[in-house]
Amino acid sequence: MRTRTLELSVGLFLVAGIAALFFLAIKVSGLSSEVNQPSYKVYAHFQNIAGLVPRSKVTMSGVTIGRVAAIELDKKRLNAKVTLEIYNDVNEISTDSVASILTAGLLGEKYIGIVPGADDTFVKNGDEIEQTQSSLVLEDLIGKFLFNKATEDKGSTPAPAPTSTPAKAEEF
Amino acid sequence: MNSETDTPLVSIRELSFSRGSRPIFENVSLDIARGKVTAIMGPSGCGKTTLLRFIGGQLYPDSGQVLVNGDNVPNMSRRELFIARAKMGMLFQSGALFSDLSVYENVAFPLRAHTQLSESLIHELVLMKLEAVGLRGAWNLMPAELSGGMQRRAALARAIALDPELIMYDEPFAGQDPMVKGVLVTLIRTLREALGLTTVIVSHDVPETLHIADYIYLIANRSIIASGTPDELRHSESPFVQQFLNGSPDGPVHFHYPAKSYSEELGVRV
Amino acid sequence: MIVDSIRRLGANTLAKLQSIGAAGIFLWQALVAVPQPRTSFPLLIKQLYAVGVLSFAIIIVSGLFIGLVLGLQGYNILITYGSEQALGTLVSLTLVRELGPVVTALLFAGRAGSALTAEIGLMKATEQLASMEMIGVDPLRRIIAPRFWAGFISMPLLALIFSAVGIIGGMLVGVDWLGIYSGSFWANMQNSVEFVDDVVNGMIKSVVFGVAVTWIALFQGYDCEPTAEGISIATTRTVVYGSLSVLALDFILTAVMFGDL
Repeated sequence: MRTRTLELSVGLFLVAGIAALFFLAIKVSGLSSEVNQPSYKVYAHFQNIAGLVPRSKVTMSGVTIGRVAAIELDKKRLNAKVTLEIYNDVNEISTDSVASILTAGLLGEKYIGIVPGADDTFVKNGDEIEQTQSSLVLEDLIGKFLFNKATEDKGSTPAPAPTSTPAKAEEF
Repeated sequence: MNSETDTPLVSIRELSFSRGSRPIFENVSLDIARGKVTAIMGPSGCGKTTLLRFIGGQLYPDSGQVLVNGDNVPNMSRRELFIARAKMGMLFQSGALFSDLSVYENVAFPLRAHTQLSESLIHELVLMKLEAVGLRGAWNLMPAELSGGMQRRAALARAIALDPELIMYDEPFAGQDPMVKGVLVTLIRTLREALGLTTVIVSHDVPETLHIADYIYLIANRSIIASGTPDELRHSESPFVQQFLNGSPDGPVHFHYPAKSYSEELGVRV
Repeated sequence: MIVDSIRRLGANTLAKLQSIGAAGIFLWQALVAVPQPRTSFPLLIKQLYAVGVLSFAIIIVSGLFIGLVLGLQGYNILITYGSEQALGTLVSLTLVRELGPVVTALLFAGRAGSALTAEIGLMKATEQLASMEMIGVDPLRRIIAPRFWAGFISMPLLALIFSAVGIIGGMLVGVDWLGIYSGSFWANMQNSVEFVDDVVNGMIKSVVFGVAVTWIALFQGYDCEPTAEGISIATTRTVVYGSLSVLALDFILTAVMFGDL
C-alpha cells in the first residue's frame, strides 16, 4: 500500500546514504589500509622539519611503514622532536638507520624516508633514531647555487655545484 | 452524571486579560448552564474566541478564575488538563481537520489519543459519529476533497468522538450558505437534545443564534454589556443591544470614523 | 531624535533576543519529549520520506553537475602546473570538506526547509495546531519533533551522497573524458583524503547544518503570523536565515577543524 512504498523508499534512502559513506571511506580515503594498524613509537630529532606535518607518511624504500604522530619542540636540546608510529610488523629497523625528511615531487608534501643501516640491534618502542637529515629548505638551496654561480663567474676554481646538501650525521 | 444539575458546568469569575498593553477583558464573569445552549455574541474583535481558549486551557488569564466542573483550569497540571480536555469538544472556525489524515483518521484521532480501544471498537465509534453528522459515506475522503460545509461536519464528528460534556462552537455559521447553516443548526440542537450536551456558541450571526440559544451574553468594550434569554434581549432597552441585534448601521457604534467636520474638509463656509 | 533611534534599536534587539529565546524553548520542548515508539516511529518514517527521499533527486543531480564542473575547472587549472594527476585530490577534498556539507545544506534549506515552514505555517493558519492541542495532544511532540529528527538524520546522509556522486562526476570528467590515468586519480586521492580528518569532519559539519536549518525552518513556521502573508514571510526567512547561518557556521567549523593543518 502507500505506507509500504513509503517505507521502502525511506529504506533505500538510508541504504544509499550508508553506501555513500562506505564509498567515501574505502575508495576515496583509502581507509581500510590504515585503520587499526598496531604500531610502536620511535623518536627522532631534526634541526629543521619545515613542511613536515603530523600524519605525514613514514616510508622505507618508498613503501609506507608508518605515520608521523606528533611534532614538538624539544626545549632542552632546542630542536624538533618528531614522534613516528611504525607498524608493528616492520620491526627490523637497525639503530644506525637514517631518517630524512624528503619531498614528494618538486612542490609536493613532506614525508620521512628511512634508509636502513647495518647494525644488529633494532629500534624498539620508545627508542630514538639517532641519525637524521633535516628538511631541504628551498631558499638555502637557491642561495648556495647562486653563491657558487657567482664564484664560478669570477674565474676562481669552480667549486662543484652541490646538487644536494651532504648528509650530516648529527650526533649528540 | 452529576447530581447537582443546577450548578453551571463552566463558571468564569472576575476574569481580566490584556494582550500586550491592550486590555481585552476587565472583570468579566459569566456562567455556562449545564445542558443548555449558551451563546456569546459581540462585535468582531471583542475577544469572544479568546474566552473559549480560556476554557480549554490554551490561554491563561491575567487574573480571575475559569472553573470547569469546579476545577480552576489555569491551575491544572498537564495530566489534569489532558483529562479535562477529553471532556470538551471544540469546533474551530475553519474546521481545522488535519490535512494529512483522512476523515476516518481525523475522527479516530481523539479516540486513539485518550483511549486504548481496539481497532474494531474505534471503527464502530467512528462510523457512529460520522453517521450522526451525515458523513458516513465520506469516511475515506481527504479533507481537501470535502466542501466547506462537509469539513465543518467532519470536524464536528471529531469534536464529539469522545462523548464530551461540553462542546464549544467558534463562529460555526460564518460564511456558510443557508443550507449548511440549516444543517448546523439542526445538528447543534439534536446533539443538545439527544446527548444533553452543554453547548457554547461564539457567534455574531444574529438570526441563527437567537433561534437556537437558551441564554445569551453580549460582550463589547471589555465587559458584558447585556445578558439574558433571546426574548429578554429582543426587548432590551439598551440602544447598543438594539443596534447589534438589528444590524443598524448607526447608533452607539458610530457609522462615521472620527474626522473633521465635512464642510471644513470641503472648504465650504457655512 | 537620536534618543528615539537608540530606543528603537534597543527595542529591536530585545525583540530579536526574545525571539531567539522563544526558539530555544521551542527546540527544548520539542526534543526533550520521551519518544513513544509505537506512534513516533511511523511519524518519523513519514517525515524522513518527506524531507530526505524527496530531496534525493535534487541532491544527486546537483552533486553530479558540481562534480563534473570541479573536474573540468580543476583540470584546467592543474594542467598549467603539470599537476593534473592531483585532480582526484582536488575534487575529493573540495567536496568532502566543503562543498558536500555546505551546498547540500543550502539546497536543503531551499527545498525541504521552505516546505517545512510552509506546511507548519499553514497548519497554524488553519488552526490545526490549536485543535490538536484542544484534543489534548501536544503538537510539539506529534508534528514538530518527528520533523526535527528527520532533518538531523537526513542532512548528513544527503551530504555524503552529494560528495560521493560529485567525486564520481569528477572521475567521469577526469578519467573518462580528459584521459587522466585512473590509477593515479584514485591513488592520489586515497593518499590525501583522511577518513577521520576529512570525511568525518564533513559529516559533523552537515549534522550541525542540519540542526541549524531544520530548527530555523520549523520555528519560523511555528511562530509565523497565521495569514497567507505571514506564511510567505516565514518561508522567505527560512531560506535566508538558514542559508546565512550555514555559511557562517561553515566558517567557524572550518576554522576549528582545519585551521591548524
